[in-house]
Amino acid sequence: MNKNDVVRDLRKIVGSGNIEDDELILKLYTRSASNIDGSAIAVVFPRSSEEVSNIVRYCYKNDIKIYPQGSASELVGSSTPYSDGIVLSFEKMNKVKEVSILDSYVITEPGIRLFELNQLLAKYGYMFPVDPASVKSASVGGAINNDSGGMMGARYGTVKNWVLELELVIPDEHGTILRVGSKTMKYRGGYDLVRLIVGSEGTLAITTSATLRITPIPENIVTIGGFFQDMRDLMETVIDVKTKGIELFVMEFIDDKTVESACRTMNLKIKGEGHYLLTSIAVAREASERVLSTLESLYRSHNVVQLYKARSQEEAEKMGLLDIRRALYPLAMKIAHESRRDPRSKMFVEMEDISVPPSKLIEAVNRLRSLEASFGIPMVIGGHVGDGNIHPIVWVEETDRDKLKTFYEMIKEIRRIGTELGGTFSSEHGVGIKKKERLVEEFEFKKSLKSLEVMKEVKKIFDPKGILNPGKMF
Amino acid sequence: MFGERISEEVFMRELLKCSFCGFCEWVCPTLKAEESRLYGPRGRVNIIIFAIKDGVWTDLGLRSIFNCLVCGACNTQCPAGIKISEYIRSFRYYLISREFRPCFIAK
Ligand SMILES: Cc1cc2nc3c(=O)[nH]c(=O)nc-3n(C[C@H](O)[C@H](O)[C@H](O)COP(=O)(O)OP(=O)(O)OC[C@H]3O[C@@H](n4cnc5c(N)ncnc54)[C@H](O)[C@@H]3O)c2cc1C
Ligand code: SF4
Ligand code: SF4
Repeated sequence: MNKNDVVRDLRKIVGSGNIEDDELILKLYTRSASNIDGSAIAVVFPRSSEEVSNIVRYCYKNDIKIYPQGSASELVGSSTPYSDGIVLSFEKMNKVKEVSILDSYVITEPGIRLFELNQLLAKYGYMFPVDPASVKSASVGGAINNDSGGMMGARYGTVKNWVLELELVIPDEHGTILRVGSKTMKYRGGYDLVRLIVGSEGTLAITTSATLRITPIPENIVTIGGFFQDMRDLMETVIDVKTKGIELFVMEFIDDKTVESACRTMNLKIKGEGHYLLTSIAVAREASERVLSTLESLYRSHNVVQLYKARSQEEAEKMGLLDIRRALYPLAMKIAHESRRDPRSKMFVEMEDISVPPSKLIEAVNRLRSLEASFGIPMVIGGHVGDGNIHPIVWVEETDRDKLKTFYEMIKEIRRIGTELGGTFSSEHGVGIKKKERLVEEFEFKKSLKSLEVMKEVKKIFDPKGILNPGKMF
Repeated sequence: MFGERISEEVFMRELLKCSFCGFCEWVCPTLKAEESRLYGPRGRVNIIIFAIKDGVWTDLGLRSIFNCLVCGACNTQCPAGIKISEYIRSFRYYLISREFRPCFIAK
């Protein structure tokens, strides 16, 4: 179909202010944090589920592909569109429809950012407890479809634990609107389609509304941050804390190179050398001192060099105990850019996303370090160590053609570590375009390629013509 | 440096640090009003890149660059440390001095 006709027809559905085909806008909405640029016929901004349904019906009839998009902060190419379709941006569907404290839920459109949702919920003393480092940009729709996790993952897990009900538009000839799940904590009405959609990367259905579980902000949170000379000591502290059965709120780490860069470039109230481990526990106010001293003695028994304690979340924030960890990716970007040679070339900075069972953390870190040595590509590591999720970050300059091949080989090896140690290459960032090959390898390793066939069949049921976010995941 | 014309190389050296993370957007008043990425800091940083690095420039780019309030709220949010509003301001000087036709520097 002619591009101008498509734009004209879709304009009739959404109104003239809600569709764009200007060249500059197309470039802006076909880029993402993944570093992969796409292309598209137009960007469409629906305002309601009914509009989404009408768009889908039109696209189904005319074989036009649909690429849903929230804030485009994904890192794997899962939102990348191609020239055969339209970007469906949820930027304008960003209203919170209902907050119920009694029933512990919020109903919202998909376009709102998690940070803004939590600003609203904080007024009630509540929160939606999934806090990816990208919380200030990540939208509800993106977080659901990526099954995002974050720093509080050690306690609250990922999005999949916090979605009660979804309104969806499926890519069939009618643009059918489905409503799955319920507003209750318990629900056993057939197969669990809610959790099938969570993490499906916009390949099965379009999320137009979500009922999310919310939880009270804990009464108090105590935090301890410590620097270790030896990564082994840090990891043994993690294992010790976890085997003591202490219920974690946050447990995160960054390595010595990132710490060095943080102390040099950030305006921090804390200073240290070596690798940094941060642990927070949600407590009743009266238990604060007792829990802190237990943590302190565990840290000390593993040779912590400098140690900082905060008796409340406010104090932890004031001291910068969390900021130093939050800055992992930006700091890696800074270190990467310091090594850039050509001012006009981009740095390819890849944040990997492996998970291993916590008992395998030491082995995983040792294997990562030996990859760095054998490939000669710089790496920093950090991540959500409390749940075994490590983010190794590596970089290369766009124009350094010789190194690019080695770079991608090294990334393959990094991903393999997750799978081989009983974990995964993909914990919270998804598969998208970049990790499709590894998805096959992981199932091969598990001798379970049939699982992949089942997934492809599921995709066909939801999307018989293959028009919704094609080319992703498989 | 800011407030006078700076070269295409300087724009690229700084702005290519942008990782497209979008952390800068939630504070931006013009993005709130227009509800479009084009009218936010991430949009503005990237349209300068598209103009200079890829040679893509349209009237909407001009509108976006000139409707920024240069309030600087975005600068505090950027993990890459880009002084976003200062580069937007400089790009205005740059555009005026080039009669609104940015120079495409092919690599
Ligand atoms: C600096 C940085 C740090 C990050 N840290 C984390 C982290 O700690 N934890 C983590 O989990 N992730 C992290 N991410 C990745 C990413 O930010 C999150 O996964 C985020 O939740 C994606 O949200 P988004 O709105 O940007 O979605 P997008 O990037 O726009 O889309 C993500 C996926 O969801 C689909 N999608 C979006 N909206 C809809 C919808 N309404 N219906 C159907 N499909 C839809 C898209 O097609 C795509 O497949 C990070 C990214 C960056 C840049
Ligand atoms: S300086 Fe411009 S881009 Fe930055 S927040 Fe203000 S209006 Fe938005
Ligand atoms: S915060 Fe900085 S790096 Fe992120 S999108 Fe905005 S300008 Fe780019």
